[in-house]
Amino acid sequence: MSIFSFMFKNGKQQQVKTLPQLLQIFKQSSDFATVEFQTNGYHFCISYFDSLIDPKLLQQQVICRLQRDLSSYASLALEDLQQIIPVQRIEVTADVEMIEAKLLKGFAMIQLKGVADHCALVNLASENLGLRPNNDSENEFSVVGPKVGFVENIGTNLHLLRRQIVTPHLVFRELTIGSMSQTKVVIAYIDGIVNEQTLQTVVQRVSEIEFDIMFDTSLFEQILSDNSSSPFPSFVSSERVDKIVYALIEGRVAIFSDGSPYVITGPSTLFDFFTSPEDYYLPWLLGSFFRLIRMIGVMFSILASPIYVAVLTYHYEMLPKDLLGPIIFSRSNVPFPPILEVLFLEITIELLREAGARLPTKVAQTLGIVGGIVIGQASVEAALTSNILLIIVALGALASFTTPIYKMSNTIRFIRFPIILFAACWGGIGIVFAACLLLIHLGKLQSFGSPYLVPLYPFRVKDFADSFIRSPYHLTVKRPSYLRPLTLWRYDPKKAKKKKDIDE
Amino acid sequence: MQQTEHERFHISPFFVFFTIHCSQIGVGILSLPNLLNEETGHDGWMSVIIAGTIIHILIWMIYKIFKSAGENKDVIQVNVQYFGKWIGNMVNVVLLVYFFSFALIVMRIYTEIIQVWVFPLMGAWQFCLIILVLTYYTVSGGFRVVVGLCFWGVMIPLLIIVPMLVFPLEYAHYRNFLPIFDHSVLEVIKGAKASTLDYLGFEMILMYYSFVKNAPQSHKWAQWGNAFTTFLYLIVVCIAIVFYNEEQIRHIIWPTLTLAKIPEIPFIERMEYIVISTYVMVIFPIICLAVWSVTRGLKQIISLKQRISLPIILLLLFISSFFFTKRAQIDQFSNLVSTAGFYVLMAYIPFLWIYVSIAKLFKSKASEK
Repeated sequence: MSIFSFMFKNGKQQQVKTLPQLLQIFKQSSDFATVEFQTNGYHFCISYFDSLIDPKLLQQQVICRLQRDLSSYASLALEDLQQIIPVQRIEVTADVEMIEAKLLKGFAMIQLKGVADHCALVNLASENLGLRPNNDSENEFSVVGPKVGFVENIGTNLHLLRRQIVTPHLVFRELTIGSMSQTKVVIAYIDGIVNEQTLQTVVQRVSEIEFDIMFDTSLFEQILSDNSSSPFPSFVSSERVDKIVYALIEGRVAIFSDGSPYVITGPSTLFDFFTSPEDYYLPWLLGSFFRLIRMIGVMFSILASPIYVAVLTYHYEMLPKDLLGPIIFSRSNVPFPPILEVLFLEITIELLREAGARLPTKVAQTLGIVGGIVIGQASVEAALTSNILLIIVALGALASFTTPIYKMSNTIRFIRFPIILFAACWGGIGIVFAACLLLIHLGKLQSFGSPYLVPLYPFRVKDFADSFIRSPYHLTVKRPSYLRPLTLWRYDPKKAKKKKDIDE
Repeated sequence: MQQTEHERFHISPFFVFFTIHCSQIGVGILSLPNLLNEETGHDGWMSVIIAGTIIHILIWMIYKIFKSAGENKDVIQVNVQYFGKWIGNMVNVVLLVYFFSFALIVMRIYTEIIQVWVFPLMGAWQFCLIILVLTYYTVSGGFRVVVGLCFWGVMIPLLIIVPMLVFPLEYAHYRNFLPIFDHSVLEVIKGAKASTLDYLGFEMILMYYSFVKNAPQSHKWAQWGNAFTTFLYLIVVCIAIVFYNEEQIRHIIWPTLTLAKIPEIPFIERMEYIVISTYVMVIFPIICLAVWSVTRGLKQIISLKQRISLPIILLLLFISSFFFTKRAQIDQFSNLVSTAGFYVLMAYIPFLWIYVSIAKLFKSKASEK
């Protein structure tokens, strides 16, 4: 073979035809082990990947049993192994491709001398080796409510889900994605609630994915996305069990991927990115209040520094006399135009954030203090920025972090920059232009074929119950209609709605 | 012509409220009190009501036309169906040219306002350019996206601009209304004619009628849309009447904008900057609707793909915006478009309605025999 041979291959690995060829390939690797032994006149040959199986299982359940219990069998066939070895689902096969796949997943292959091509496959995989057993959902923290989060192991994740949704209608559909990683991907939904068409779209899109290694569900998010060149995330991803459960009972679809603690749910709307599980654990008044604060925070974060640029560059007439004094005072020594001043501070904050995210936690704290206080104070004293702008930018950064979903807060950090540029070019009109652009863009977006801006556009009055405010539970007995669920009612509303008269 | 429109491109009847209302309120409202003052003085509010009523009737006629001519059609097809291929298409071309000039004049007047009020030194072409680029982005998303923009174009200005109209009432002189009926009927009707022009834009429903799901159901929403426009105009005119005196208003080209100078809150002054900025949201849907109508019409007449015609139309709009540099030219062109619009409303729509109704009458009689 020449070194250019890969160019002529059609991207596919060499096809293995026979079992000996397969073993030959496996034996190149040092962790492929083969154990041969004889008991009761039978000659066994067990092959497995040392790095994938649990050695304790192999010793106790397979070798020990074979050596001890074999005497009661007069003639042994491979099919009889199921009676001897207490491991579920032993498969007997001659299919080389299947043997290859199973061995690579931590199965052991048991061959019996005299039975040439057939072999039994026993699952001995040590599933939790090297994976963390639990996740305290620290990235999506909430003070009230359960703290259970998903982990890297998909088995654990499905377990967590099934324990909360106790119904036979919860369906898991398994797929294998990734030419190299053979990642197990599970599409979860509740049958009888989820819209058939949505489900079909999801299954079709997921099964059409072509990729080599699925590192994380966030890859899915990008590949599945209806509009891949948008800064807005198309699907909510969360590591919190309660959030995913809530999405499922509303009639959405969840996608799990092995090796990823994040689960994505869709179809999502813009509002889903601003709801936190805590909204539902607090009384509705407080929940709504905090949700509104969050949304106002986002608006502020996006618009505050562009407005500063616009007003100070073009519309300084808009400042009243009382405010003009402090602004002149704080800006009198700054040699830059507002746009440079803002960009300088915004980028400083971005640097702090990026550095804080990349560094170990303990160092990041120090960095936050050094960066936030020292640089902020020093840059004001050095007359690089004005005090007022420092406050605005810091508040804007703070407000952008109130978004519960990390991906959305990144988006918000990003979209302010174009708006700042628009404001620097065309003042207030530029800001409104940028806002228009944003609204049109959001209006064009879709998530699994369902509009992103619902219930604002298309306008659905009924679905406002759980959007800007988190209405009390007796008003949210219906599932959101834009998901077109098959059953609209979440539970019997008559029991929930009963209202008593005064003094009754 | 084949019906290829898919259900998912359609809008629900409810949104006709927004498209009608949004396409009516444009730059006209900013100078409406001045316009009315010339004819009817402080009795202008009567003219507004009369004009609004006439528009209600015209909307009713439009729905009747489509009821007789067949649903799922737009005016392009109706014209060809009733006037034959040649005359029908000539009418169609005139309509499209009218829509084109409508988009042009709305854009040009708005950029003029920007120049006069906010950026005296910047070239109008910059603003035309960004408006048109944004229009491309919107219209290429299809009709639903345009309607979405109409929705925002109603809601956001309603939340930001309309509350500002309350502030001038602090300085109101309610006696300005008196004496009522100070002007002759003729003057009031002349005022109504002048204010009809501010209702222009709703006739674009002739083009997007087939894009409305269950179109006959949308009739009531269309009427509500127009009623809401009338209501807003009435408010603006009344506030202008009580705030200004007649002599003063004669010298102000955009009295409504000047009203926005009045509100003052502790951290913002000169609210008119906010109003003018937010006004992008008001005029932008009109331009998008008009451009969409033109491209849609071209597709129906000469089956030109909208993807191709859209950049061409936008480029033409951009180039033509250079021809109007002086206030007088813009005024002249504005008057021309208004007159054209007036005849579209007062001559074309009633004529088409009568024609279609008579044709239907004959048809049904023929079928009876």
